[in-house]
Amino acid sequence: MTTLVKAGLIGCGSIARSAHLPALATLRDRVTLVAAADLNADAAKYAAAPWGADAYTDGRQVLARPDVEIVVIATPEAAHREWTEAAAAAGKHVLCEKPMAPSLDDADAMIAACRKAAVHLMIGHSRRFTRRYMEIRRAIDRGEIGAVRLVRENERRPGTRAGAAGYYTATHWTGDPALSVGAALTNGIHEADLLRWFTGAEPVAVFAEHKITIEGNRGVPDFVTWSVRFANGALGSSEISNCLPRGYPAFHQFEVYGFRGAIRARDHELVSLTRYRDGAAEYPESQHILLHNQAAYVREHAAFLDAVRGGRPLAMPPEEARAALRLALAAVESARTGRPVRLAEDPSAKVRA
Amino acid sequence: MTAPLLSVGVIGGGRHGAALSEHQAPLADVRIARWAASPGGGDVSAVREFAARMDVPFAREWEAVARDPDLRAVLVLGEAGSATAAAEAALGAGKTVFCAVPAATRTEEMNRLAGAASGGRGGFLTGGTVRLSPAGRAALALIGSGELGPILSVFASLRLPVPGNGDRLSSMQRPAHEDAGWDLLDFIAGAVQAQPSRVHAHIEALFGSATLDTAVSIIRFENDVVATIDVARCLPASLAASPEGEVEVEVIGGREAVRIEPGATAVRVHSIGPALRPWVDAPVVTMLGELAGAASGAAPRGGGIADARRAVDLMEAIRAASARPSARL
Repeated sequence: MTTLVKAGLIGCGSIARSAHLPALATLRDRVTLVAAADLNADAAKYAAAPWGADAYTDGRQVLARPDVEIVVIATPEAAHREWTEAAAAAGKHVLCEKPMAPSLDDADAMIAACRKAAVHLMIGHSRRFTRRYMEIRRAIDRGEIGAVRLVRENERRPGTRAGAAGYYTATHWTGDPALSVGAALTNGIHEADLLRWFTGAEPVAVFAEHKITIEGNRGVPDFVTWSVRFANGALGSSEISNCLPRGYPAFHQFEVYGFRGAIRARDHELVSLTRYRDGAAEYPESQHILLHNQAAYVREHAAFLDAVRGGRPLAMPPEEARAALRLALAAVESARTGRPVRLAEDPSAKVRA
Repeated sequence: MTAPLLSVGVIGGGRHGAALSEHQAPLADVRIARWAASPGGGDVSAVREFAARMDVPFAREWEAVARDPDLRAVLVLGEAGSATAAAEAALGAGKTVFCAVPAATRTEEMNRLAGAASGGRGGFLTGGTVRLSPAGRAALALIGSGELGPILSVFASLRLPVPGNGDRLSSMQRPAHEDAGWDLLDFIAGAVQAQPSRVHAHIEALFGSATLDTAVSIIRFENDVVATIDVARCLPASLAASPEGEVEVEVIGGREAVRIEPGATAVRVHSIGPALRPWVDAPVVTMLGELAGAASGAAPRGGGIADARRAVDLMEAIRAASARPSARL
């Protein structure tokens, strides 16, 4: 009988509560949470209580425990490097929430620290573990649409209007310039990764525009649109808006065109329940389908455990996350300067299935 | 007492001409009196067939229609680049003109057209498929009413069949964005009502076309609206594509958002009521309605010279952006 992997959690905010803790609970036969830390003591207690785990207000207390084998880092990205380096130094394997870091220097330091400590580092790019994207990638690999030429994914996030405590509002950390780069990383890192993954190539040029659309935002761009040329000639584009009315049904609009076929998916075509009241339509199940795609997080954690205990290769190596970060940061640079950004060949980047 | 019929001459054919002749029942207060081919004459045989189908006299020379004293209004159809001369002549002859987009394709043409419009006795109206479709009209009405709040961003996409997949919207001879892309620019010109301040464009031949078949443009306007325009001849033969392509538009405002679904723009023939296909017949019927409305003093739903100029300015900016060395990075 194998022993349970003992996990620690650093950062007990919304992504921990909505994604990581439920995923760990689903995998109770393989993993158990023994320690959780957050600056907010109540948040740490909330995360720890169902497991009978210990709650702390300092992540170092989690890392100091010799029984903790893996650490899930679910803090704002500005703190990812600090906690990853500390976890690696403590000999813990790290599953870190996306985006990997706010800079390539931080990302490189994270990779180096984990390599030096001989521990695994995986970045939580949950879309790679989302069934429809996995199916799309398999279809591309099977050659069903021929060589990929054009990929687009737009992301629309409703519910962050003025007055709601959502992304980029005055009270949310994503709206704090000290903690957040903005939509290009918080949301767009997914699209940056997917465009690479589906074109199977590295970006060579990107241009972007970004802006602030949410009232009360303290200066963090919450809207971004970009177009990317890849080394194999394919084009990719994404437009990300966080300023949609509640009930907006089209969260993710995805399409990929090849020489011989096309694959298209739109969230609102997956709406399983529409609720009408007072002349308005609501889609309570549409959010559930993707953004809170619990199965994706379960697969993500299972893949990490497979590497930690099963000796399997990481399903999402940190170099892949770094390459997505490189593209997203190039978009940020383009948007800030108003100029296209050329990406030199990166010998460390190689798109992996 | 019923209003007298408005005698309208038509110059040019193209997809709107085909739709008009197929629909055959334009409006109760409009009579198609003469029909001529476009300047350049590339559509003579098609227009002759359209005219015959509607039992309308065919005019060999487009000038005969533009300057016909018995016509009060002229509808200029046809393909990109063929409209300006006809619209200019008709305006000079005092007609009210509705010109399907693009009324002009270059700044120099636009200046000539504006001069003719300002000196003419008749009015000038313009519009394309997106603006004049039922969904596009409703979207622009909501934007114009201010119900959406300040416009934050616009996304507009057009997906056309690749060559050999039944595309009848484009000539295949021009780059995709220079062809059907005008419909999107016309809508955006009406929605945003501002000049571009910065444009980036990736324009490529990605799908084996002889011409550039894909264009992704990102435009920041002087009023801070950001628009993404994505045009591609990419619908493969394996996909049962609408010959007219699929349009997807989202306009996100500070209070509300509107979205035109691709499914709402595909060809649908309604079996109940007037058989108006929203993406095929409705725009050209609306063009005739606009002419009738202009004759009776009704407020136009189409654009005017200012919108036509904004669309030309957008296209010129996209051309310039795609020609910059930085676009070829």
